[in-house]
Order: sequence, then structure tokens, then C-alpha cells
Amino acid sequence: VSEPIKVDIWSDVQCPWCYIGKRKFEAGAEQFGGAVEVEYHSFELAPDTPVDFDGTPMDYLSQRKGISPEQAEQMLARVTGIAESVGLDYHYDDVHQTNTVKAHELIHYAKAHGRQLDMKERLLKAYFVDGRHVGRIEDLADLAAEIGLDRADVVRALSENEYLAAVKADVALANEYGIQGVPFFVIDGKYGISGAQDAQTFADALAQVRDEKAAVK
Amino acid sequence: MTDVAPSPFTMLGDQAAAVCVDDVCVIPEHIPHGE
Repeated sequence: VSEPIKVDIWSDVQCPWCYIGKRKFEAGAEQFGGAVEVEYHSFELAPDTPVDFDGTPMDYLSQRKGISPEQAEQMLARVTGIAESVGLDYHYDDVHQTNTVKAHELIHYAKAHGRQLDMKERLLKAYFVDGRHVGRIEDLADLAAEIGLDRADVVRALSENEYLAAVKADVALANEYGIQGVPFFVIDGKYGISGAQDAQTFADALAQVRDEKAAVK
Repeated sequence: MTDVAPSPFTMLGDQAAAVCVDDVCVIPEHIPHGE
């Protein structure tokens, strides 16, 4: 049995392309067929967003980024259509725009408890599909409990900022690597794939790494 | 887009793929709606 190929993924919870890219990567990994080990890393797209931002992503884009409501609506409609094409039912009208630092801390907490991938998926679905809040500790603890993590311990860890340094270390590493946007995939520590690319791109990259490893044995 | 470190990685695939940068998500024109 060959060693799994390591894939490091920088991603934010409120990044629509990250969820779409996750599905495309998963399809590519399935197409590849070999063993793959995934680790998610934190990337904060909008660290200055208040936890209780009063408005939808459309409000956010128009109020804070100067994008007209019509243009913002058009952008979100396009993303929603593309999400649908990979089986994701985005509900932008229900989305709670927020600060994601606590969600990232929770993903690190889950990693420490062997549940990172489940937590990442639950948080993305909570944000884009279920209209759940992913910025407040109590809401995050509910989501953690849904995948079987200890709710009270999650509240404690998030209240004490136990994994904040780990989040900031991921962000610093992304900066060091010159990662400007997400999702960003690093295959076997040497190949970079930026954005929500086609499944075939991921499958080809994984196959390339497998072949290169086989060639040096 | 300034003072960005060069990537230590060999980049693969389409460099104009869909990404989110600075809380704005870029939608490349070549991705048709709903495809």
C-alpha cells in the first residue's frame, strides 16, 4: 500500500468558491482513486468583519465594497448557479455574514480531536446551505455537538482562544507562501492549484505526484 | 496585490480559476452560469 498523498488546503468558511472547490477536489480525488490525506488551513478573507454584521452578503458587498446591489445580486446568482452544478444548494438570502476566526479555531479544535474534515464540511454547509450563524461561540458549539464533539469543551476552548495562535499561524504561512486567494491547494508540498478548478485538474495533479513518487523508488 | 511573496510551488491548472481575494469573490467570465 502506497503512502497517501498529502494535500494542504487553505480555505475560509464564508468563501463560496472554497465549498465549490471542495466538491471539485473531492470528485478529482475519487477519480484519481489513490490514498489522499487532506489537511485544511485557515485563511481569513475579511478579518475585520464584525461577528454580528447586520446584513446579508449582498448588503456586505454593496455597503463595504462599493459594489452596486444589482451587481452584487448578479454575482451571487452566478455563484449559486455554479454551486448547484456541483450539488450544493446555496441559500444566500439566509446567509449570516460574520467574522470567521472562531469558526477557524473550531476547525483546529476538531483537528486536534481527529474530526477536522467533518467539522469543515459541517461549517460550510451551515453557512451556505442551512442559514446558520458561524461566528458566535454558542452557535459554533451547537454545530460541533452535531458531529459528536463535546459541546461544553468547545465553548471552553473557543472562549479561551485556545486555537487562535494556530489560526494565525496558518494565515501567516499563507502570506509567506504568497497565497492571495482561496481556495488554494498544495499537493505533496510542491504543486499549487489556485481556485475552484475542474475535478480533472486535481485528478491529474494527484496522478502526476503518484507517478513521480513511483519513478524515484 | 502588492508585496506578495513569490509562490514556492509549481502552479498547475488554470491560473484564472475562481477564487476569493480580500472578501471579494472573483468570478471568471469563462465559467458559464450553472455549468
